[in-house]
Amino acid sequence: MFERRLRVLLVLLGVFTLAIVVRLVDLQLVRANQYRDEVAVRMKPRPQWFPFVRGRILDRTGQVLVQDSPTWELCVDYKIIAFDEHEYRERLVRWWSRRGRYRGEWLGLKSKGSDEEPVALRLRIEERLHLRIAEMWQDIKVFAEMHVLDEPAKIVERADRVVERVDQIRKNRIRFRDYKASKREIVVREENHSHPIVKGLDQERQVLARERFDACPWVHIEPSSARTYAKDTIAFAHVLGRMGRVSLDDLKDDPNKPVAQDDLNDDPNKPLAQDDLDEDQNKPDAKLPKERNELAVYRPSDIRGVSGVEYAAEQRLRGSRGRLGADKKQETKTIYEAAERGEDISLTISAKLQRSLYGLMQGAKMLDGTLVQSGAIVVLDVPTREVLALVSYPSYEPSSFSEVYEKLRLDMIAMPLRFRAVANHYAPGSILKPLVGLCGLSNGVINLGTRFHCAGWLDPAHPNRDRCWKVAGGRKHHEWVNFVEAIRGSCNIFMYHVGDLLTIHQMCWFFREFGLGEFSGIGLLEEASGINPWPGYITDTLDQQVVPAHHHQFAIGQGELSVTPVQAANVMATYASGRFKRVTLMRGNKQLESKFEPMLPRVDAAHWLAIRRGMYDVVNDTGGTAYDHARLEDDRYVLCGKTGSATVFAQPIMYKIAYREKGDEAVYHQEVPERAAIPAIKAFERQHFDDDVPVTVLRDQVEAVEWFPPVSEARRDETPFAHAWFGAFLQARGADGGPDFSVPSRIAFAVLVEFGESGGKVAGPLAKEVAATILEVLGDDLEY
Amino acid sequence: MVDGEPHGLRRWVMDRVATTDFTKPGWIIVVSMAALTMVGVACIYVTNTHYSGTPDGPANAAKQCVAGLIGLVTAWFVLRVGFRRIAAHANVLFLIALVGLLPLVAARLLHTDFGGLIPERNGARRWIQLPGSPIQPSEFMKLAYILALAWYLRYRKNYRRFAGLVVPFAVSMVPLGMILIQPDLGTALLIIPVLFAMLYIAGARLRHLLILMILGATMVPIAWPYMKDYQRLRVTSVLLQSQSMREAVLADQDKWGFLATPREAATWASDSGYQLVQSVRAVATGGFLGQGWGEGVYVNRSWLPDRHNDFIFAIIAHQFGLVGCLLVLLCYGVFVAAGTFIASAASDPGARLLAVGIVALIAAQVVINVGMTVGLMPITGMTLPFISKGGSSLLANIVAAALLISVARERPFVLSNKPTQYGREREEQLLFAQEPQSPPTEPRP
Repeated sequence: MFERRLRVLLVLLGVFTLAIVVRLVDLQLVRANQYRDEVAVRMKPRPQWFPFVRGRILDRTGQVLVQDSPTWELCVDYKIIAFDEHEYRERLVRWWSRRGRYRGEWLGLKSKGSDEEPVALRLRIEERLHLRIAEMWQDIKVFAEMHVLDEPAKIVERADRVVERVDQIRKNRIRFRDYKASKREIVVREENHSHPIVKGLDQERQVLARERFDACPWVHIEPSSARTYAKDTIAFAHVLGRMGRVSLDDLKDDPNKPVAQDDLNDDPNKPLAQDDLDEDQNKPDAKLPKERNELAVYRPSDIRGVSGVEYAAEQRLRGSRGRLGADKKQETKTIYEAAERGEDISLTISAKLQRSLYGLMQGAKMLDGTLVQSGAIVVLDVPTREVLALVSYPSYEPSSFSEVYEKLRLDMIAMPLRFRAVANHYAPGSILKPLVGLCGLSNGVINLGTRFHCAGWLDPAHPNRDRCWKVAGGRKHHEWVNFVEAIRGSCNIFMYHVGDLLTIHQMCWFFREFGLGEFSGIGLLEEASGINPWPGYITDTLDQQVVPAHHHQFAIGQGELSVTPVQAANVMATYASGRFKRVTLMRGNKQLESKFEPMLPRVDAAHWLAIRRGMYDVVNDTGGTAYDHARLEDDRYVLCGKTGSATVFAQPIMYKIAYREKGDEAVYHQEVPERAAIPAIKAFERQHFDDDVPVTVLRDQVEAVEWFPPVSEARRDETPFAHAWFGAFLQARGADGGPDFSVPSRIAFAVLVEFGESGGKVAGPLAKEVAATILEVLGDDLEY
Repeated sequence: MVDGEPHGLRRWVMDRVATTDFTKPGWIIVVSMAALTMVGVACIYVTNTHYSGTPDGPANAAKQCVAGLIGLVTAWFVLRVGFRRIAAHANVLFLIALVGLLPLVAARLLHTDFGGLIPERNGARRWIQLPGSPIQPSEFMKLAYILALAWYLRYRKNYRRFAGLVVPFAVSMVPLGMILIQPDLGTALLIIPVLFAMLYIAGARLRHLLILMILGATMVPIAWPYMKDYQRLRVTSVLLQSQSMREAVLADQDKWGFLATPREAATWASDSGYQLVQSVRAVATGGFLGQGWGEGVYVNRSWLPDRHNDFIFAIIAHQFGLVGCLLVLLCYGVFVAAGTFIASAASDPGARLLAVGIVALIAAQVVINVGMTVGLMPITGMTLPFISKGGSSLLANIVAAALLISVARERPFVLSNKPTQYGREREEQLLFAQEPQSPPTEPRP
């Protein structure tokens, strides 16, 4: 029995041995190469990346407005940032104790030789880590330019924000992946990254930081760069735009992303359809046929331009990062590629003019003597339609944007974040009257001699409807006026008659030739196209019938019609030159330059002259609407302009949101500052996104509770306010002291004062100062 | 004395070599043991365990040699005394070994290190820090346990009944529990196969043993939820080393959630499975002939933790390839074969059980250690006999081998009341050999 049993045991042992031998053969012969590859990957030096320098943005004279300066970031590993959470502490302590004997020396744990372990190593490691991390936060305070005696909590707050952000990412991941349990543990990539705690370290401080944190292997000083703005760039904040973190969509639609198989089906050489161009024309660089640059690909931690020129010229401004790593083809070879800096973008704006005009806006006065709240000035170079100034008031200091963002966002009256010069559109008011008249002339429904009688109203049967502005306040009406006189006196009645003679379609088609309802070509993301209300727009979008009132409204630049200040300035430039052209803000933007050919509206030279004459009279004739306010005393130039007032009603600035909490019948209210109901509801929902108890907004009970300008609720619909317009161009003075229209005009501009009430009295004086400033800054010869 | 002939020590050694029968099982054990120990020292020599100062590989190898020398002295002592006289005091030795474990258990339960006497390493208290070198009492416990069990079982018959198994199991549970408290799962697990092998050889009924095994197996699902995460992960790591299995865990938690949480599965390769991944890579990258002694990335870099003790087989595989692995396994095979031969030739049940116990101990250690190194078994802290760095382990294993040789040396003597057939033949041979032969005489003139 003994022998037999011994044999059984030996057979059992033989089976185990056979299994081991088979496994060894499998690993060492069959799959050896696979594992060799894995080890080779591990042996490869980790690729190092070097940040690129983003391109500068310059004004037309080469003055630097914003540039990248090299800085360093003090980054801390996430596990250390979240050290207080049990799981990370466990993992770290385990990690350190596993590699404890020699790594422990970092922590100041003395090695006593290979066989002499420190007592209760893990406990000591944990204790030592705690201590070292506390010291680290204390040291980081110095680099964060905090006072040594500041509460350590202040710097730890930054760490908490990182933890919150990572938690949020994890939450989102759970939500998007539709995990059943919300508490389910998942790992996000950010947990293995280091996160910047202090940004913007300069050369000297980064060296100090490296020395100081030598004993903290989890602190990394990473090279980075920061956007540095020139002094006094408040006037440029909107134009330059902001930088922000790369979004998920950016990562997905990255033009530099290596081509996926699906994309290869699209023929890259296929010309872009017109629809594509129209859709993307405010994203001009998005479809540039540029070579894909793998080194310029977005990474989740990258920042990119999110507004203004920073966004519009993103692909040109963005450089490509440097790389030190293994060659893809030859594993053993190390390659180095230097970082390439991005292209500089030259704007057509004159920095000096922009600053001066912003200063003018700051000092401008309303009718009641108070300072102007908000407005915009756009100055164009007429021959090239280059934007010389693009002032949006009020603005903010771009260098301190992140600190004051909340304040700016909640300021519903001044709304400093709005890029008024391109993003807001307003009814053009009377500055459009020359265009309507021109439309009548071009379509042959009137001629230069045609006169209409202005009795103060259009229909004697309804003297309170379709009135001329002139009769308001007991003034005298215009009597018989022709086209030039109608412009000079800004006669509504003349325009109503012309509108009656034209169809909406004729008017809108003509407006289109002057760029109304179209993107101006400036290429900014924020740009609005304004509204050119084609009959289809009225019937389909507004669900209304086209009635004579529409003719009348459009003829005096009111109603659904709306233009942005840039479009208004371009209309002025078209008046001055007789040809329409898209405006340019960035030089070297091939895509936009080739896309838009200048157009020549079908207008007789005599009609152009009549318009210019009329606009000259507006400012320089005693009967002109701006004679008292905007007449320019200059030897070489006269100001030709047109006043305008766009009727507007008070706008809501605060909404009361009614909502219910889940499982509770009571209705609660919360006030949210917003300019419209939908954004208010969205803002409210964002605020309550993370609430434990879900809330439901009662959409039909959302109501506005505060308006600007302040007005009583009862009279809100009857109290119209007006934005003040002044559109103008500078014309050379002839030998007789009058305008010499044979000399091409060089400068056109538009001035808008929100709620300025009177185009003549408020926008007029401002326009006069604008003209004087232009002449002062650009010189008498307008050589810029 | 003729000039040029060897003399002195050299002569003594040559005489010894000339008169020794190296085909005897005892010598086979000595040779295989020496070969394995030398492989171990060679591997320890080239693997440095820390890089901050001077390389410590040579120093560790020297320590291993010293432990080996101490082992040889102890072995000489054991051979002089003989296993029988030692085994006669098996119960006393067992008690002494248990007492040796007591301070470790006390240190663990009281959370104290007795002034640095019992330090904690990797969360366990297995070593007593003596001046000069730490010792690991559980290594000696294994030997004492085998001796005690062999001596307890030798003349009994009651283990043929189920109730008779109670005492051997109860005796096993005491050291098992004490070793588990340290905790030293590897050593504790080793006791079970040794116990089963010895009971089986002693003649316990197979169905009793199978019932016990099935009982033990049914305990696993019951104990599963009470196990700590890291313990569960050690077991499931065998499955989790497959990438597709980890993906399955991530994709379908309802089905595979018992293996690991998604986080554990996602971080497995760099966290709880790191050692296993590196071990398998080290083995696989050895290839057929290996990278060469002292060569290879896993020798020169500290990617594989514990590569000089528990995972030394991975380093052997990395340096010497499949050929080296098979040679090492062959050495163990030879050892086991010789041990089995000794056991089967042993004249009395006590000696036989002792031999089987020692062979089972060595074989089980090899199978479990190599199995975990190549990813076939869960990772437990267990040394590879004669090769892994560790003075106590080497010393205990050499003493075990000495006991085996001692059993082999005793074969000629018939002390058993139940001599085997082999024993009778041998006896006859010996009797025949002892017959006086008449010296050749020259005829007188």
